[in-house]
Amino acid sequence: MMSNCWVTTTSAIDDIEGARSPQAVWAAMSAVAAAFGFEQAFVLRAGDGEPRFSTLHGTLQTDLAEAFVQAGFAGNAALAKYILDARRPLVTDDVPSDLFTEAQRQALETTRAKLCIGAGLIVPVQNGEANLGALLLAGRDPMTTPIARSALHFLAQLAFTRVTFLEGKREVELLSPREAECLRLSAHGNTDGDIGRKLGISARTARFHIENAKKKLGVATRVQAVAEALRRKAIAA
Amino acid sequence: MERIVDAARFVRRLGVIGGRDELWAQFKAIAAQHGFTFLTVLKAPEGEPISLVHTNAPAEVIAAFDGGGYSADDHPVLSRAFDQIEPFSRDEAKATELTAQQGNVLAYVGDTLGITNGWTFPITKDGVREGIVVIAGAKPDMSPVLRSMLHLLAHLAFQKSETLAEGGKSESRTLTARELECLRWVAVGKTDSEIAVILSIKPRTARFHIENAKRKLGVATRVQAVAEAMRLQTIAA
Repeated sequence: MMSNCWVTTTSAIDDIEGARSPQAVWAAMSAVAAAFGFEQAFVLRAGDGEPRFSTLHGTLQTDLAEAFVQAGFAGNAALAKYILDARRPLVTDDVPSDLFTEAQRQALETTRAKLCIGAGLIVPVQNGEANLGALLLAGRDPMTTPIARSALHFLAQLAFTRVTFLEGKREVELLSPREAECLRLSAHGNTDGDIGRKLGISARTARFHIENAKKKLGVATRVQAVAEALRRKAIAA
Repeated sequence: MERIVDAARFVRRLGVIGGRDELWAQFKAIAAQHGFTFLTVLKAPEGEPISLVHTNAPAEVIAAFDGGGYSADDHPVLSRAFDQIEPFSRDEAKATELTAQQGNVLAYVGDTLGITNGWTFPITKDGVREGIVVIAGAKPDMSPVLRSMLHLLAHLAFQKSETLAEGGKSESRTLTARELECLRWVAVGKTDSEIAVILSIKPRTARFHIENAKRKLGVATRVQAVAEAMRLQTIAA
């Protein structure tokens, strides 16, 4: 597992940078967290202004997620402030327990027992002075060594950066999903025939999609189309 | 956030770096963006003598280090780097119990190189010590997020550096200036003959450069070569 997580780190960087939707970013983040032994990964987005967490994205079982919402974690400003002010990954046991209400302590205990959680890591993410949110990771027997913490801190930064970029950018929609897919496969060395077989369409149709993509991108050749689409991030690198 | 993306590019490029000097030069370039202008990499596997992998410090500084006992295994700062896996700053190193002479050496080196602060990253593999990476500068950015980022990059670079040392002299995967030039023209839609006219070479030669670039990038088609080179940022996106 130890060496494998470094290979996963490298491929996760590729996946996050190439992701075309926030969901894809978080999926890549969850995968790399799992390689470090954190089976559970949740994303908390920071609200505007006041230090508080707004939305939760992750793989938490519905009943547990509900318990979390009910226990009012999102509104716990003191807890949010503590996490964000740390500016570095915190092992869950580092968080003073008096920051939690009784209901929150219980919700944590229940979750811990139900998911057999041995340790957790809280990774705050900032862009300069602005708080973007935090990544919550937990697992049975995860890697929490200094280098694992550094790697996950960096990856969390990268993931939030990519999501912020995707949410602010609509050029992704320049090409239709089919055109983008055909062009992406072409960029990976597939012929029209290969693309057709992979997508279950005829080679002619694949060619048609690529021709349309060329027109939309205003270029004359296929190589140019790929280069231009990559430049404009209309297809994933 | 741009720095995070630069770091991600560095990790992606690690796969095609052909030599150790180039590897550490690229690492240094990233560290220098954040004020860490000084880099020293030591290899120190458990039970083996310490050896210098890379440094940009002048010879008299290295001599001073050696004179101060820094090449000895029992030096307090080195021992600290070997015994613990948590990175530590220059301020923390200074707080280590040093003899008067060792303290003087640290001060002399700082003055000579214009260093005020920096990080020592202990490098381990599966919990066993491998070496250390030291970065420092006049006014480096010591923020937690950069510490995590540079810690991860140092770790991955050191691993790659070791692989390169073991692999000996395999063919360089780095593209030559001519190969890059040809690929850039391919990306804007030029044919072999057009590139030949532009660069005053034979079409066959243009083709030769592009074929070499394809082989080095490990791809089968020209479209793929452009996509891969853009992905690795070896040609501009």
